[in-house]
Order: sequence, then structure tokens, then C-alpha cells
Amino acid sequence: MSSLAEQYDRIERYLQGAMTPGEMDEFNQKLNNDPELASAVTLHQELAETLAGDRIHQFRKTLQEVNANWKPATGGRWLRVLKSPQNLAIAASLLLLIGFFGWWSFQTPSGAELASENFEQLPVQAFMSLDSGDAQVIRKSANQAYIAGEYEAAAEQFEALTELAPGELSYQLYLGVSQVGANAAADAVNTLKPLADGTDQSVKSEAAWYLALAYLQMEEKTAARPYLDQLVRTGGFGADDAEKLINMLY
Amino acid sequence: MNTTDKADQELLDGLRSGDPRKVKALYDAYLPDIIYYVRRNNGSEADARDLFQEALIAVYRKLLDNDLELTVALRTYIQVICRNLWLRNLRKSKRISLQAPTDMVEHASTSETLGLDLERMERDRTYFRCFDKLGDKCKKILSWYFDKIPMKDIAKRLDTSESFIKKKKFECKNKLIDAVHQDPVFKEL
Repeated sequence: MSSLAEQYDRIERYLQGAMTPGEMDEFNQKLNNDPELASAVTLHQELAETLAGDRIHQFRKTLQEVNANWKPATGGRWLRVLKSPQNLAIAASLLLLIGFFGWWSFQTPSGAELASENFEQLPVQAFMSLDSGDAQVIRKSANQAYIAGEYEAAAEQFEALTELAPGELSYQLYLGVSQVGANAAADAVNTLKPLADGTDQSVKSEAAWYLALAYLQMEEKTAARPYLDQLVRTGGFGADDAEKLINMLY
Repeated sequence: MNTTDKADQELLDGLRSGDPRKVKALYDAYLPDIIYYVRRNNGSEADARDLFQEALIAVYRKLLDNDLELTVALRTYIQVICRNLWLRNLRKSKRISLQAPTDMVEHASTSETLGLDLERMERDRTYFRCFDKLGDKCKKILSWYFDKIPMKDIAKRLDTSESFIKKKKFECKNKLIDAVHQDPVFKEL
């Protein structure tokens, strides 16, 4: 037997009370003078206490199985978070804000709804006498579609007209209005913005109004605001409606 | 045991039975709080699960020994164990200071007042961890040996000689003790 095996054997016999009285006295003396031996005895004793018992091992196996299959219930975390008064206060404030925002959203129509409510045809007479030849034929067709509220068809015709007469701003304006009517908001913005930002006063106000409506269709209320302000400031086309929209939206 | 709470008593009876469904009820009831607490204090869900398992073993052992004196709710008792074990862990690993546990262990219960030896519990964790690393044969021999089954009976169960079992028991125990001495957690205890 090796010296280590002999030491183990002595420690085990000591712990089991299997030593003779003489051996026990001698061992106790060594224990008092040898801290390493004392800690070895403690370790042997604790290992025996901790690892003894089939039930403990079986219980650990059960725990390991339950642990492997256990998943936290969904939502439990939020309930625990709400146990803290501070978190509860934050949650309550958020709920109030969400509630208010929901109420406010319910009370306030969307930009698209407002654009739809405020869209009216721009009268067509302004360009009736401007064109001739092919343009006249297309214009007639565009005019018919426009008056009938067939804005997609009207937009196609007005687009053709803008190609025939690129400098004719009224074609561009009616193209833009048709695009707003057809809910082609992004196209309408591309068409109307140069007119609304330009210097030609014959189309500027009308373009600004329909451009604002196009932005509202896109729910870009911030982008619509300067054009509505411009209309109110100049008191031109659609100024009253622009003011109403501003009061509702901002 | 000194608890009058019926729900606690049912959970303890379930724990004592070792029935996995009843043990799971304890996990459902108490582990989410432990996970939440440990996560808030620089730990992971895995850390929390380890602590919780240790707490359940401590309770189970006391149940077997008829040594469970519950002077607080079972939930608090388990939280005290987990919180204090985690505190020790954080202090040792020098991670940042623990947040005030406002939602856990509010009753100023300390491990001492509940009769818990946390250091011993940590050593026990190490012992189990090292025991788990042994081969199946070593586990069998040592657990029977620690259960005071005579060597000749162990030899009979394994259909071998008593002298072989004595030799094998020494080798297994030596492996276990070596593993304990090498364990980084044990070194810091």
C-alpha cells in the first residue's frame, strides 16, 4: 500500500471510529500539530457527508432533468419588472402617453384623409385656348378624362402634353393635380414642387396647395407645412383651406 | 420544520417526493425571480439556475435530515440562499457592486439567522461538480462506499473481488480529491 493509500485508510478508519484507543490518541495528536492532515480529514469527512445517499444523487438527476426542460413563462419578466414602484410609475406614465396618443390619433384624421377631403378639381378653363394641332387633340382627351375624374388617364395625357410643350407650366400644373387625384403622391411632388418653389406667380399658389395635399397623402405633414404657411401668408389660392388644415394638423 | 403556510408545505412535500412534476412547480414558482435578480446583478440565467439548484439541494438535504426550521416563507428562504451565494460569488470575482435588492429578500433575513452555512454549500457544489467528472464505475463505488455499504457487498454488486474494489475505491477517491484541489472555486474558499 502506498503512503497516500495508507493515509487515506487511516483517515477513513478515524472518521468511522474504527481505530483502537491508542491509534486514536496518536492520530489526534498529529491532527493538532499538522494543519494539512487536519484539512485532509475535513475534506474526507465532507465528501462522505455530501456525496452519501442515493436519494441526493437521484434528486440531483431530477433537478438536472427539470432544469434542462424548464423555460421561463412568457410575460413573467414584465410582471417582475412591474413589482418595482419606480418601474410601475414609468409603465403607468407610458400607458397614459400611449392612451393619450391613441385618443389623439383617433381624434385627428390622417394626412391622407385630410388630403382626400380637401381635394377638389382645379377648374380647366385656364388652358382651354392655349394649344393647337396635336396638343389640342391630346388636351381635349386630357380635359375629358380630368373632368370625368379619371385622373390616371388624365395624368398620362397631361404628361404627353408636357413633353410636347415643356415650357407650358399650366400642363405641368394639371399633370400634378391629376397625379394628386390619382393618389400618385410621389409623382405629384416631383411635378408640383418646382412650380411651388418657382417664381411664376400664375401657377405658384395652386401648385403649393396641391403639393401640400400630395405631402399629406404621404403623411409628410412637416413637409406640407411651409407650403400651407406660404398660402396663408400670401392670401392666395386655397389660403382659407390652408389655414384650416394648419389648425387641425399642427 | 416550523412552517404553517399551506402552499409552502405542498411545495416542500413535492420537493421531498422528488417527483419531477412537483419539482417543476418549484421552478415555476421561484426560479423566475432568481433569474431576474441575478441578471440585474451581472449574472446570467445559467448562473441563476445553478444557484437555484444549489438552494433546492440544501433544502432537500435539510428535509431528509428533518432539520428544516422555516421561520420565513419558503420563497424568502430560497431567495436568501441564492442572493447570498451570488453575493459571495460577486465579491470573489470582484465584479461591480450589487444593486439594492428592492424586490427580493426585503425582510433583512441573513443566512446566519436561517441557519445556513453558505461556505459549506459552496464546497458541496464543488464536491458534486468534481464527482460528476468521474466515470460511472467510480461514481457507483464511491456513492456506495459513502453510503457505508461494506466493501464485500460492493464487490458482489459489481461481480468482482473485494481487493479490487478496495484498490479501485482508493483510485476513485484520489481522483475526486485531486479534482477538488484543482477546482478554481475551491482554491478561493
